[in-house]
Amino acid sequence: METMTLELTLNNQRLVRDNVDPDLKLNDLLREDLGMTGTKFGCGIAVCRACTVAVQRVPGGHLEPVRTCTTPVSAVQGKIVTTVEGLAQEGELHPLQKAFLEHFSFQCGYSAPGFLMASFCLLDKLKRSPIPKDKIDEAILDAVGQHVCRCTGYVRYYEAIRDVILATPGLVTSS
Amino acid sequence: MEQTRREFLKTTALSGAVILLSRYDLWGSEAYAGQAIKAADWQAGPGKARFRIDGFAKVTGQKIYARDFRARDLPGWPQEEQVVYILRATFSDHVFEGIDLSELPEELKPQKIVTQEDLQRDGIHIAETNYPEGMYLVPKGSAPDHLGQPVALLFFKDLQTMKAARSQLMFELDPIKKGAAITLPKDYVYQPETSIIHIVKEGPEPYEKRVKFAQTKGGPVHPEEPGKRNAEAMLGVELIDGKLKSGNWTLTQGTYTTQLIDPMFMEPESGLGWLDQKQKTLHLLIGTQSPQDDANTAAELFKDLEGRFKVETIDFTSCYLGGGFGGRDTSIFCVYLSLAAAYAEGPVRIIYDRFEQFQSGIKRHPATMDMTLATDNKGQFQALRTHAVLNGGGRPNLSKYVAQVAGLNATGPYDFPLADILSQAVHTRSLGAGSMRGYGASMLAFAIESSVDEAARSLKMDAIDLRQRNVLHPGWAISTGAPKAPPGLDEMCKKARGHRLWSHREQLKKTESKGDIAFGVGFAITMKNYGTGADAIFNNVAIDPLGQITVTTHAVDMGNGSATTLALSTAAILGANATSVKLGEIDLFKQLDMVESFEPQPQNPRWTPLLFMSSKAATTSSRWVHSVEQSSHVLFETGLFPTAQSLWGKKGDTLKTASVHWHDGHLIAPGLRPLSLKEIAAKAHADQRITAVMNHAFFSAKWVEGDYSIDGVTQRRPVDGLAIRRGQGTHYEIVDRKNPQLMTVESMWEGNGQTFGASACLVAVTVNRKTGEIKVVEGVHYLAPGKVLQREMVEGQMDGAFAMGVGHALLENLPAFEDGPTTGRWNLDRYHVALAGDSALGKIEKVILSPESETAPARGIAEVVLNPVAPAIANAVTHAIEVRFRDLPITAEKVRNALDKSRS
Repeated sequence: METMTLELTLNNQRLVRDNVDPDLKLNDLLREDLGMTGTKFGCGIAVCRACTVAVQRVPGGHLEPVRTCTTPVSAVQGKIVTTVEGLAQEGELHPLQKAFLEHFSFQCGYSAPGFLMASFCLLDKLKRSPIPKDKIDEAILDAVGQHVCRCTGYVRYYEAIRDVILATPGLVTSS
Repeated sequence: MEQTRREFLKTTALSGAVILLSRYDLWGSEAYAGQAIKAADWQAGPGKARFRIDGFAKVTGQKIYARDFRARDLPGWPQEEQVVYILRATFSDHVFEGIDLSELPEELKPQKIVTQEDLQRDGIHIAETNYPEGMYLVPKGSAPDHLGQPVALLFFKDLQTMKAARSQLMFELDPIKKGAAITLPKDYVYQPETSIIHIVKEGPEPYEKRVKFAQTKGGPVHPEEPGKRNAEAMLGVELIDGKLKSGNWTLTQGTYTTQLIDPMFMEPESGLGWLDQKQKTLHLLIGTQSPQDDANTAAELFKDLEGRFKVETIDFTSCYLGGGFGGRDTSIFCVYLSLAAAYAEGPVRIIYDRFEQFQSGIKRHPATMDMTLATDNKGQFQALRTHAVLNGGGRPNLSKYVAQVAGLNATGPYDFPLADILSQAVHTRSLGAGSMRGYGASMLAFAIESSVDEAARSLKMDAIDLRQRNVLHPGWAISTGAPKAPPGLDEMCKKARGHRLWSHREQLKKTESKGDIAFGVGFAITMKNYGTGADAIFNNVAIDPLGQITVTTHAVDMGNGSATTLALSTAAILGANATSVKLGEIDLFKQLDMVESFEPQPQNPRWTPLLFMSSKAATTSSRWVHSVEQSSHVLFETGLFPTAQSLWGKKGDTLKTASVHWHDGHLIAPGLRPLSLKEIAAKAHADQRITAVMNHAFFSAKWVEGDYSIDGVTQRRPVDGLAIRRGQGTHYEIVDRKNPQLMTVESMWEGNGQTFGASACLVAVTVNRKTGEIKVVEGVHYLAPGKVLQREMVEGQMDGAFAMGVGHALLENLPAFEDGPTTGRWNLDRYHVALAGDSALGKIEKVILSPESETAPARGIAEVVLNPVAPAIANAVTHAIEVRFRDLPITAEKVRNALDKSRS
C-alpha cells in the first residue's frame, strides 16, 4: 500500500505522521488515530454534515467547511484544520459555543460540532464580506441549511448563530 | 459489592426478581472539572439553568457518547481491540446455506467467524426477558426468520480492515449462500392483542351508571375467545356493528396507512465489550435507553453454568446518547456486543455505520388502520370502530406494547359512547419494529385526525367546531379506559379557531393560491399518555460536607434534558441545584434490597411490582422528578433541618419545617441567623446525621405510599422503598414501609394508570400542482404541559417534534420488505429527514398553555407534541388541493398522481 507522510496544522499544533494511507478518511484520522472524537460521524456519505471541520489552505486564508467522513487525509496535506476541540481560545469558549449553550441550541448534542464548525466558517466569510442585516437568515441557511439535526428542529441553532453575527463587529453592513 | 451470577440465579429462583449486576459510571458533566477551558456555571439560580448541565461537555467535543470510546480510554482494559462486523441476510425466502468469503482478499479476511452453531455448542442461553425468540444468528440449513437477520459475527484485527471488508461484503460481493426456496410462513399476531370494547348508554343518569361495558371493569377482553366476559364483549361488538349499520348516523370510513420510519438518531449504535476471563467479568459500554435491560440480557446469555463462557459479573457503562427517540430502548445491539465480547481475544468493538443502522436498528411500525367514525346530525360523535394492524417485523421486541398504546390512543382526544378497538402487532418477515417517539399513538393520530376532518366535510361543519363539540374535558373518563382526560383540549380548539390562519383560511386560500401554487390550512389535535401506566424509579440524593448535592439515578439522557431537569429538582426543597447528576446507575440501589414480582407480596415491605423502567415515554418531568423531590424532602426533614435546629440551638418541636425557607443559598428562620447550606452540610456530616436518601417510587395512576419511621418520627410518603445514609459512610439503612397502599396487577388494570397530555397543531402549506411539492409555510403549535420546569427545554421539544412531524408527513419512508433498509442500501441520501428549509423556521408560533392550577403537574410532553403535526399537514394539503391522502408520507409523486387522476 502506498503511504504518505502527512503534515498539517491541527488546532494550532503541527502534526506530522509517517506511513499514512492517503485514502484514510480525515474523520478516522481524528476520531480513531488521534482520539479527537469531538468531530462526529453521522452518515458517512457527506450528507448530514455532523462531521464538519474548518479547513484553511494557508494562514489567513478562507475557512472552508469540510466533511471529514468522505475527505481523504491527502486532501488536507499542508493545510490548517480546526476542529471543535480547537474552537476555544486562551481558555475561553468561542462566542458560538457560548451562544449555543445559552440558547439551549442542541439537545443530544451530536450534531453540535458540525453546526459549530460550519458557523465558524460563516463568521469568517462574513468578516471578509459583510452582509446587510436582512440577509442574515439567508446566509445562515446557506451555511448550515444542509446540516441534519434530529432533536432540535434547528430553531435554536439559528437563533444562536444570528445573535453571534449581530454581536460580532464588522459582519453586518450598516445599510 | 458486585452481585455474582450465582446470587443472581438464586435470587431469581426465590423471588423472580430482575437482578442487575452492573456498575454504571457517568461520563458526564462532572468529568470535565479541571479542563483547560473554563467551564461557565450552568446554573441560573435555584431551579433554573443558564444552559444544560451536560452542555459544556457537548459544546467542547468531549468524549461522552459510546462511539467516542476505545478500549485504550477505559481504565484497566487492554489497549487493543478487535472490531466485529455483523453479516446479515438480505433474504428470507431461501434456506441459508452458510457463508462464502473466498472472494474477499486475503488481507481482509476475518480473524474469526462465529455462527449459530458456535452459540449452540458453547451453551449460549436465550435472553428470555427481552429476546425470547433466540436464533441470534441464522442456523445453517434454515431460512432466516426475517430480512436482515444476522448470520455471522466476523472478527477483524482493526477498524480499517473491518471497514474495507465491510465495504466489499455489503456492496460488491455476495457472501451468503442461498439454498432452496421456501414457502414464506404466514404472518401471525404477537399476543396478546389489544381489544377494547366501550359501551355507554344514553340517559339522564350519571356517567358511571351509564357505563355498560368498559375496559377498566374486569380486565382485558378478547371477544372471539371463550369466557363469559368475552361473550359480553362480543355482544358489544355486535351491538356497535348493528348501530353502525342502522343508517341513523353519518359514517366516515377509511383505511389509513403510515410508513416504516427510522428513528434516525444521529449517533449510529456503537459499543465496546471485553470479557475479562480471569475475573469472569463481562465489561460493556453502550449508549442505551435501557441499561438495566441490556445488563440483564448480557447476564441471561451466559447463565448456563455448563456453558463455555464463565461470567459472574457484568460491568456495564452507560453513556450519553447521540439521540434515542425510543430506538435504543431494548435494542438487540446489546446481544451482539455481548456475544462478540465473549468470542473475542480481548476487547472488541461494534461500530455501525449509517447503512448498518438503517439495516438493523429498531423502526417505527408501518400501520394499517381501518376506521369507521359515526357522527349524529348534531355533530356529536357516537361510535368509533378501529382495527389497527402494526407490522412488528421478525422480532417481538416491544411490539405488543406499542399495539397496546395504539389501542389506548385509538379514540384520540374525543368522547365516544361506543368504541370497538382492535389493535394488533403482527410478526412478518420485515425488520423488527419497536419503540419510537409517539409509540403507536402517532399512527392512530393520523387516522383519527384525518377521519374527523373527513367527517366535518361530510357534515359541512367547521372541522375545529366538530372537534370542539367532542373533545374530552379535564377529568372525563377516556373511552379506551383511562380515568382522566388532560386539560387544554377545548382551549386549544378555541385558540386555533380564533387564529387568523383558521378564521381567514378560505380568504387566505384565495389570496395565497397563485398559478400552480395552492394554499391550504389544516388542524389536528391529539392527546397521548405519558409514562407507561406502571412506572418505577430509583434515585438517590446526597449532600457532601461542602454542601454540594449529587443526584444519582438509573435514567439516561437522550438529549431530552433529563440530567438538567433532575439537577434542578432539588432546589425547591434543599435550596440549591444538584451540581452533579449521575445517570444510568444501578448498583447503588441494591442497598434498598427491593424485590420485584408480578404476584403481590403484601406482607413483604420490600416488594414492588416493578424495579426499573427504561428512559422513555416522556417520564422525566413527571416520574423521575417526583422521586428526586421525595428523597430531597426526606433529606431535608430528617437530616438538614434537624442539623439547622442544632446550629440554632433549638430543641424539639420549637421550630417547624414550615416556618423556614431558603433564600440565596441560606436557610432562613424568623429571628435567627441565616445558615448557609455549606455550613449545615458540614455540621450534618460532623454529627453523623442523615446526608443521603434513596428511594424507589412506583406509579400507576397514583404513587404507592407508606409510613416510614426515621429517628422516631413517622411520616407517610409517596414512595415504596426508602433508605438513608448517615455522615460520609457508604452503608444505607433501609427504612421499611408500613401500612402501605399497594397496587396489584388487578388494581393497576382497574385504575388504568395512564396519565395524558394534550397538544395541537395549526398549519399552513403550499402545494405546487405541477411538481407536487408541498411546503409548510406557517403554523402554530399548541401544548399543555402543566408546570413548566425549564421553558427553553420545553420549547426545544416542540421545535424538534415539529420538524420530525414534517418528516413523517412528507419526507420519511422506507419500504418494509425486500427493497427496504435490510438491503443495506439505505442512507440519508435516500431517506430524507426534515432540514431547516423544510421546517418553516421562524414561522411556527409556539403556544404553551398556562398550568391549569398552582398544583398542576409537570406533564411528559416529548411524545404528545409530535403527534398532531403530521395529521395537521395532511389536513392542510386536503384543504389546498381538495384531495384526501390516507397514506403517509404525502410525497410529491403521490400528489402529482392524485392530481393527474382527478383531472382525467
